[in-house]
Amino acid sequence: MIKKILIANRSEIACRIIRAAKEMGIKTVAVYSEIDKEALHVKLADESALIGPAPTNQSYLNQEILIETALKMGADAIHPGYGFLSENYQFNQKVRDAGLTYIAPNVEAMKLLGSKTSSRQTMIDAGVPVINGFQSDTASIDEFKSKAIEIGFPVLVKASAGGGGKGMRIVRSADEFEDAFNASSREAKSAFGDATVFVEKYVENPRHIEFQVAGDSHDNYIHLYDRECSIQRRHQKVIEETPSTALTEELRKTMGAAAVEAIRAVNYDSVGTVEFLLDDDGKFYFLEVNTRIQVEHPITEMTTGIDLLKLQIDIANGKEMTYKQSDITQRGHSIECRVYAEDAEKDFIPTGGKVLYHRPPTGLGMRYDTGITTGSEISPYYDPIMSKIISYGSTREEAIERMKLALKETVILGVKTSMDFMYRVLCNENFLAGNTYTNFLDKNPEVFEINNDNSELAALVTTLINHSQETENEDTPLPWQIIGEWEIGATK
Amino acid sequence: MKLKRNNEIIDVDSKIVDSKLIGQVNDNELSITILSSEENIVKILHNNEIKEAVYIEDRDKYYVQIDGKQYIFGKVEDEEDVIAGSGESEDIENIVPPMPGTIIKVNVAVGDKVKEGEAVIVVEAMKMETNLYTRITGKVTKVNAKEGDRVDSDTVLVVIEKDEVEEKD
Repeated sequence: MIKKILIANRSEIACRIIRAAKEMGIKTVAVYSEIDKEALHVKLADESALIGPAPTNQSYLNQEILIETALKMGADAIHPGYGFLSENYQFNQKVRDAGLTYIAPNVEAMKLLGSKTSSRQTMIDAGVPVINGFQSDTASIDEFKSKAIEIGFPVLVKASAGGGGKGMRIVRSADEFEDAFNASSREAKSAFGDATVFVEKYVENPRHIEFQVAGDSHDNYIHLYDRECSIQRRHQKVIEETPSTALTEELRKTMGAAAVEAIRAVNYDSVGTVEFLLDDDGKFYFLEVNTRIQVEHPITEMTTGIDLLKLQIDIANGKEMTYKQSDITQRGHSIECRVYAEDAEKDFIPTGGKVLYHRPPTGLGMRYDTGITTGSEISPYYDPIMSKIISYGSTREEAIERMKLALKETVILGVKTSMDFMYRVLCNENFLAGNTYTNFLDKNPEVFEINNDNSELAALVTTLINHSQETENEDTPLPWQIIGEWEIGATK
Repeated sequence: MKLKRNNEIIDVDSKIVDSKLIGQVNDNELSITILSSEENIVKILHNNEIKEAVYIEDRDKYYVQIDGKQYIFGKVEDEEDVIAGSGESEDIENIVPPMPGTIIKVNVAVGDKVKEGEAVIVVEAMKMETNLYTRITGKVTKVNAKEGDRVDSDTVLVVIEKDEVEEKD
């Protein structure tokens, strides 16, 4: 049984894993790079260890250092979180070879699902529908191009090694192919250390629907329902919700069953996510299996009541799942908004900076998974996610209203965030009607228009700071002390 | 005092009269009633709407969040600073990365003509490739970056000057 986990990650997911472990009575070791010394995950963990300089290849991606540190600190397991090494089967093997438990599926399953070529064939054999495409580890760019022409444009060029939209390009004609292919390959190399990319038919106007799944080493496989993740920018999810408005009960059942078959085919023994594209005709296609915990896992936890991190750790301990498919029910509605350090008005360029003031949202139906606190530095070296706001309601409308409240209540000063942009998405009539496709932002450009500009008011508010400084200098009371508490409608 | 936001200078002045903050922002008169106030947070009444403003000052900037949106203002000591500091006007554009990163591709060379909206340089930061676009149509007069360079967020990578001829068309 696992007694001490080293968390090979940072930010909000590291904090989430540390809390789950603590709840289970398991000790935690945080690792950090030189610039993450003061990070929240380091403060939350029981113990911590410096693993190297800021660049990821010298710290969070340094496999040898991570394993060495785990052994040195007396950890008996490693949790990879998401991103970084989480879907690297070689690291998975090395961790196990070192005599440690790796909180992830078995090496064979991860390897098979991590390769588009083998996972595709496995899915075809398991009867799970797939999209027409071409992948090869050895083909030249010209071969890829001729295959793309054969498949028919538009095609998608994607990184073989990972998700998150990194390295993904839509190509609409043969002329664009070479540039897109090379750019995709470079991004894949930088993000995952593997430049291999593949080509597939691009489904126009699709929705991104995924199913949370879990399997154990006792041949039990279940799904924990769907997540609608169609609101994306740069092919990366921003707002997710469950249940999806697009699925009928029948379709949900069919897709859920396909997701279970997908993991049964590889003897999957951890939590994971089976991603599908859903077209307007209700046809769905297997995209990939993410062999890790997902960023958006909280909305499934909110609606099923199951702690996925604890389930993942239990499975890694070799326990048999106590849940049968018929035990899993979905209740209410949940939405997640990812708070990124980025500028929605400037093509979602990552921003960064120092968090000068931080006020988390609170209240009924509210959950806040954060990796930041006042004083946190958002560095250019890592993914710009700062925190996640998760709302829960008995209906979709209630979950939306609670999220809108939370987006106004949450304050992060010092770093540009996408919170006001997400607020406008939640107010958008197509979003409210459930017309959420992966091209939502292209089709609804009005969500980028700032409709409540309070810049003059804000400029006026800055003068309060100077007034307070003036009065401080004069050794007289501060303005709020002069003004005192005021109540609307009260007589003076 | 003078503030800078999105390359625009904002003139702002105010005085506190009873519970009111009366001020002028550029040419607009603004009056708000301060309902309550504590460090970093004020509750205000403006145009019959109650709003909360959370604010903080840090070195050369003010940050104010109202209704979930953050407004960032630079402090301006004197107006010429701004022009010299940014080196930017309507006729000249300096392409600057949004944050430190690595140059992946330089699409232009000195003397090239570029069109508004054209991607002139590709920077990688936070594991994402970002295209930096020009907002003006004109000629490239300076290129200070090459592929593989690591650059800071205040480095001017490319300078573009507006095309006079096209302006007259």
